Amino acid sequence: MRKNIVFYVTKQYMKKNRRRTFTMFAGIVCMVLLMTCVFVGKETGIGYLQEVASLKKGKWHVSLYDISETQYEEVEALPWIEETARSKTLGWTDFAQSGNEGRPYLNVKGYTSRCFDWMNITLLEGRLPEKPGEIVVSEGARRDGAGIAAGDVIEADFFTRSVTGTDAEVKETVFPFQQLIVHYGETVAVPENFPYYGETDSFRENREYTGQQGRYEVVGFIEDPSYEDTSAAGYTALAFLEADAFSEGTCNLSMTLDLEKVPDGYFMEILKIAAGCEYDANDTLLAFSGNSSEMTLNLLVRYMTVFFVVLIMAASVLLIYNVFNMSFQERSRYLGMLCSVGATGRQKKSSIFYETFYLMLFALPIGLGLGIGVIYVAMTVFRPYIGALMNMEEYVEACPVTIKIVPGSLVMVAAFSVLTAVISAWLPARKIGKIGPVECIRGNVEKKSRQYKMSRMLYRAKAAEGMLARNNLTRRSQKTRSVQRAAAVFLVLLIVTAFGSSAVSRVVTLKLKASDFTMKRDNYDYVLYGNDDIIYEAVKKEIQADPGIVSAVEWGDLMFSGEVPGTVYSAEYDAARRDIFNLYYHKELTDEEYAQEAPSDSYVVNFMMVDDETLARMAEKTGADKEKLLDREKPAVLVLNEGTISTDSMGVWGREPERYRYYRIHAMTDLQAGDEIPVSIYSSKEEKNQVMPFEIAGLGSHEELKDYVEEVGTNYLWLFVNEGVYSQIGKIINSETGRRGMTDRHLMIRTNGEPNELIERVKKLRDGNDPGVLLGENEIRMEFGDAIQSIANVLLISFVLLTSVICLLNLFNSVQGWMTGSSREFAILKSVGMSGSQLRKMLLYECAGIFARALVAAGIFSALLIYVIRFGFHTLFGNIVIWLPVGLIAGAVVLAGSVLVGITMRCCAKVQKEEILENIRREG
Amino acid sequence: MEILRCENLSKVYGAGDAQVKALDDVSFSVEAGEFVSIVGPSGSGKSTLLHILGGVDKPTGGKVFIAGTDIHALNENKLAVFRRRQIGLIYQFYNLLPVLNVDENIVLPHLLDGRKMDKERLDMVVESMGLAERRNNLPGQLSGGQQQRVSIGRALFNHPAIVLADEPTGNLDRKTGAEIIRLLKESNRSQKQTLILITHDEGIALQADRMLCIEDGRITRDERIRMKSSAEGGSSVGTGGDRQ
Repeated sequence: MRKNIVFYVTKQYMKKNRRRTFTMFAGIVCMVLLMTCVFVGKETGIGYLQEVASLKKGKWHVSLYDISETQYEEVEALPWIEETARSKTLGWTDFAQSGNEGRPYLNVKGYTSRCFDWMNITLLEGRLPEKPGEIVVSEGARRDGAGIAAGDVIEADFFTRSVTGTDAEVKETVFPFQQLIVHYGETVAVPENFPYYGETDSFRENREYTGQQGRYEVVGFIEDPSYEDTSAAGYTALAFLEADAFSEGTCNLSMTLDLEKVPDGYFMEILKIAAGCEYDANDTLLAFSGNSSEMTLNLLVRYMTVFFVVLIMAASVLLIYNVFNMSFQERSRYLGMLCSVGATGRQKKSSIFYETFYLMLFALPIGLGLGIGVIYVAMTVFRPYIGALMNMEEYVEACPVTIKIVPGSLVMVAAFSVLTAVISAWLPARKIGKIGPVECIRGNVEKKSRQYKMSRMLYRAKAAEGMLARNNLTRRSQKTRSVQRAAAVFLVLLIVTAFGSSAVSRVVTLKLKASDFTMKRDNYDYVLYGNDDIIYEAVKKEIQADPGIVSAVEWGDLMFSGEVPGTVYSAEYDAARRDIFNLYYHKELTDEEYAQEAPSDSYVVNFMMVDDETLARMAEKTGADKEKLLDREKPAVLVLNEGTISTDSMGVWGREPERYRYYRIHAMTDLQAGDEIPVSIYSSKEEKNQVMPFEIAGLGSHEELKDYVEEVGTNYLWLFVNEGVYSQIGKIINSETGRRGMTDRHLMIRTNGEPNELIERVKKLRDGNDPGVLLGENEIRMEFGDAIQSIANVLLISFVLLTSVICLLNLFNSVQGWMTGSSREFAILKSVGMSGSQLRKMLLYECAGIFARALVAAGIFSALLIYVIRFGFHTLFGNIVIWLPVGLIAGAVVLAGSVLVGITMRCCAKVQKEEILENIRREG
Repeated sequence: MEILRCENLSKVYGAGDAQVKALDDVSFSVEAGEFVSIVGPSGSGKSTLLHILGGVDKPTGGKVFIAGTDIHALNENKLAVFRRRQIGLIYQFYNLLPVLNVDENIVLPHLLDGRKMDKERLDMVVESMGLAERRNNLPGQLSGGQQQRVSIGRALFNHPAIVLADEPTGNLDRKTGAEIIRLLKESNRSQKQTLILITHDEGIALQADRMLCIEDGRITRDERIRMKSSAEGGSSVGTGGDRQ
């Protein structure tokens, strides 16, 4: 005897309707697969990026140098510090065996064993130090010819280094790469990467012995640590240190943070304790770990996770619901039979849930397995691109893909899958539980008593096919409702995803490129930058004369080079700026406080010089006065009158904003064309500001200038000028040295596409020391932000594609159900003389009707969802302009329509092949 | 004038040991305006024969000529056009389109032919079928008898060369069945409509001009029926004539 007859009968019908059962099973598998991709994929992807990032700099998040024991204890006591590892800078010692005159020292550090692990110390020979008195030396020493081998002993007498300015005639000696300035008579401690200069005329190197000495046996050689600078005065040597060796003096502390608990302003909190100490943040690792001083990747990951899960759930719920709904008649019949022999409503409902969970039982492990497979394949395929995008190819190569499965992810996959199944089965179960046995068996659950008149007009307009299609759609709409729903879901998915992706992408762009202003350079192949005026001008002349060069125009920019009175900026700008300060001060600043904390007497302006031809085109686009703008004598400007400010692009030192907020400024200035902007420009020669008035020749929005300007992520006004006016500004700014200083010019070059000898010659100049010019290829250079954005976009597209599979399955299943359900009617039509082409035409009309309805439904739902998404983004981030991707949406509509027609025609062709008689005899 | 002729019709279902001969070398012809009834036990091949004659099923062998056209030599499209113009099919289970009202169902073959709506003819057919009050109803809102009348109206609307009825009264009560047969006979008499009807009811079969008996896929009897009294009251009939 069967234990549960309802379940048994359900199972028998599942077997009978194999195709339907398989569609539902495939849908559930797809859902689990996608959920796995979201949760396990997220862990694996982020884990992998963390792994790669830790190979670059180490496994630590933040490092503090030379902190006292008390500071160490205070930092370690912070509740969100996960683990710490201490090291000690023992100092410099002479390295007699050195084979490089420029590197006569060893820079010795004491490491605890965790430090060796965290700092990615790679042993090349021998072993790592295990007890005090043992040391490993950087392989760089041996590479440079040092006469040292394992077992040798190093006698160390540690000292610190400093330099003193010795030339009374030289005011200051600048070390740009070490960011060090030494004045005459001044003694300054030098950083670790400071080279060895020996005795020079302008400064002298000093050493101060710490009194600490040691005798170390070399036990191995390590790969040069990532922090070792090859131009530094010494090689790195790492000695073993025990925990109690830190009781005296200072130490270096590396730590990892508990990223779940760490507050936004953690860095300031650490620096408050370790005031005055040097510090370092492992930004790449922090970014991938979901926390960084520069960006908030975890926010993006969180948004994308929610976005994907909602998307998958919605698509799956509709697929499963549709499958149940389509088989409602048949189900109601067999459940009605059971009901007539005493099955309760609850038992009928349980049949639906049984089917769902029975399939789920098998779909869950299969979906999980397939999901993990997809993740592995995707990671393996994307791995080289990740490396290229992040400029971390070497680390990516060294880091194999490992799937990271944490129990939490599996629980999430199972929980969301079960939840989706319950939601999708609940409604049909409720519906079927309510209807009585007689209605079930008769199948007249939805009987109408309405009368319909024949429309002769419709017949005249659209012939019999049109009339039949209309009647099918209006008089028995439940038959095509599932197709309509499936098409609408497909459309909503595509439209909302297109918009959602555009919104997420926009936020990522704004978060990552908060203060970028970029000119579009699509028309050019190379950019020539000049370090030395004379060389630059000479090369420029040659390039302009080369027959292989189609165009070579000069552009230039001057950032922060002028100041204007606060009144030049608009009230809108000032209001947004004030809001930002309020967020930083965590309160509404009074007028006095605002005036004191954020004086707005004068603001910065930036200049951008473009060639006359480009400037003339920009003038045409914006309606600016071209004549004035191209006048080389009388200064006039074209104002880019749109800008943005955000809590990311504008900061207050030592303060963290309450939350992120973005403001798009529609009018950076309230001035009009013809008004004057008085710009104060600092003349380093005269050591004072010089006021230069500029007439506004026109103002342009980003939309008007979109062919020329890439992004409007800028806090300050950008003023476009011609070359003559730019030179006038340059003359004021440039110091007597004749160097370009802040007036940066570059030559935009377009070649005829043929290999060019001159270009190759100029390219080679960059290999030399301090080249006078640099030729850059105008390829898209991926920055970290770009890489993150690209990854986000790839993920979005992949997920939309995968979710589309569920929607397609749903649509296919619905159309097939519709065709199967109509096959008897098609046979009747054929028996009374409908030809194949008439049948196809009728179905095309029906498709058009279904699609029109789906479009209306999708339009309403999409508009609603887009409104919610937009509202959410505006609430969270500010008045971000999220463009409606009209092209994508139009494409989605065409795609959905084509898919619907395609599937219908395919099914129709199949139906046409079936025997008329067989279908006529089919039970109605 | 011969309106239908079939030659050596055969229909085989299945293959090998499971092969079933539904029709076995069936040949006969029907004159225009003739009313032929086909009788025989269940599974004898009556419906198969009718469906082959109506062009909705294909014979395994043999030919069917209707108004001189070998219908199974036509391609799918031409056959569809032929069906809508020359054949009227009436089924036991009506086979009406549930989304079309009475008018639309009746006029369907005419509309499929792309012809201008003949309202006069429609009114006449609807009137003669006694459906004037139900013209705007969907089939689901009609009784079985009414649905069958719609089905007859549809079959007759285009003045087909031949009307084929497959047990049109099989699903109806005796009274309604008699009414249906009256309508069919009426069209046969008044419009000289050729009619071939399958029935299990001997009483109905004997109302035809001629009766074909089928057993095991073969015509076992082909008899002319002689009317003994008027059609008004209870008529008594006798058979005689050819035997195949």
